[in-house]
Amino acid sequence: MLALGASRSLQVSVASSMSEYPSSADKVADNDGLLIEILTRLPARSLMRFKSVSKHWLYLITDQFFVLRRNPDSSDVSGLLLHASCTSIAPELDFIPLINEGNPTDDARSGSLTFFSRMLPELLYTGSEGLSIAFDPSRSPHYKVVCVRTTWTRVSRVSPFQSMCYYRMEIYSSETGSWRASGEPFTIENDNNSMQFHAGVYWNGAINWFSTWGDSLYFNVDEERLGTMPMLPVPEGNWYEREFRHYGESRGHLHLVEIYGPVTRFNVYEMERDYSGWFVKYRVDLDGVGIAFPEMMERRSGDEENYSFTILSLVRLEKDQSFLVLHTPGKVIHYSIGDGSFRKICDVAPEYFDNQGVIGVSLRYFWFHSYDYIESIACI
Amino acid sequence: MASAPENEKNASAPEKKTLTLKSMINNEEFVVDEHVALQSVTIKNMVDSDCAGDVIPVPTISGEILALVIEYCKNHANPSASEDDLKKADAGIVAKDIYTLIDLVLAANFLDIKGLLEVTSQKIADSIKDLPHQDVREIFGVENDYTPEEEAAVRAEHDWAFEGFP
Repeated sequence: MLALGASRSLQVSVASSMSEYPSSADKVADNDGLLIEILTRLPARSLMRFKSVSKHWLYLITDQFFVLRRNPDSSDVSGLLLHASCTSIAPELDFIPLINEGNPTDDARSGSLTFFSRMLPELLYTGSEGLSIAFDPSRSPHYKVVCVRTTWTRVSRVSPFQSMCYYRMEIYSSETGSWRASGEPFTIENDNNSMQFHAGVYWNGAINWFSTWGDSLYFNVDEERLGTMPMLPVPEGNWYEREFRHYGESRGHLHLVEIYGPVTRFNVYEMERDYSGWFVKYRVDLDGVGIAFPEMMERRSGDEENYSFTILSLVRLEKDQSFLVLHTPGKVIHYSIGDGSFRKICDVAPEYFDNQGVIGVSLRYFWFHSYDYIESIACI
Repeated sequence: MASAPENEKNASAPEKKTLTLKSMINNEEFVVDEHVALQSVTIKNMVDSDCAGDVIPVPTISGEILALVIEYCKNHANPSASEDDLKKADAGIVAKDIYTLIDLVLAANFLDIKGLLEVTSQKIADSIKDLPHQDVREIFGVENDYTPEEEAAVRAEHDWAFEGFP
């Protein structure tokens, strides 16, 4: 495990005479194996500071093998980042810890986090429908950002108002530090702006969007190839579009939850890796949660069709330990999918005032406000 | 390679074999049960390859540190010790100042005792994690090879981590 092979070093040491030994600390500093053993156990904040110790320490801490050794599992969700406002340019994020809930570490304290950003160069053209990031530090320290651009083109010489929307992909690579256009412009059949390009999910090497009506699109980032992902049929009745309640990736699985009407039982669907279709992965029953937290069963004004809960995240774990993070008025709840047990993670402010000073809805966060927090010391 | 006298020697060996470890720093000697000392992969390799004499010289490790190592090995060789007991005992062994911990981690590395290496590394990490990087530089005797401009640039990348630090 360590750079210094024990038996070999013993022979060397025994053979060598009792010459002057360097000080112990120097010997640790000169032994990368030992240094790494210690550095691996430091919180991220300390590591970022200790990059300033020396060039060699900077080299050790930024080395890809060290980055992977410290966080070998790139789907290890340790918390959720939530923002309640989509309009702010520099959003304040709230953090909800999912591990060591009672004893958050230095890097994972509950509360507001400051948002650090890396500025990307400007896009080649304006007209962005949405940006998605493709990043898996266990595969590569580099990431790509996929932008969907739109342009309107007049298609009829007769009528100047008949125009078509063309989409085009543009890719930013952190390796080259620049944007470039990818593939030819394309159109979407029966395009009615139902494709949610602002909410892409990176899974299976592709950015996966969803459509509130009809099939969805994905874009394989390595092959720069577009594909179609089938969607579940929207149920008959008064439903005009898909009622997404969760759409996200966990540990290499793409999940989808749709809920129509006031129900506490629903299916979690998972997409086949070859995009052949959705299958029922879990059946969830929240009756018990509704009894323990009766405010969940209330109907919000303005949204009488649904019970008052949202699904903030679905975290896949080994051995049936997978869980949902639910949000009910004033609370965030951990719900084990395997045995249906649940517990409160934390309280959140139950209500807020809108800009007219009126008490707003009692749910602060919806699934699209929630991002899994996965620690990594990878440099971006 | 097992010759006849070799076998005889083994057959007549007492039930409970002991080894003597000798610190080459201050010549302090420790007599320990063989099964305790064999938790060190280094010593085990020596014994297995018949390199070990009656007294095993341990270079670069002081008697003070060797005593801690042996205490750790004794605790972990005790089959009736519970996980909780061991955790408490380990915490006691590493409740030392940073320089002793550095000597200890070197000893654990040299003697190849994985558990002691891990628990000592963790304690060192816990002891330095809230220190300014200048102190860490001093503790490990690392020469600052940055130019002032370079150091400022590296620091500026992670300004947030320096909040409250010099």
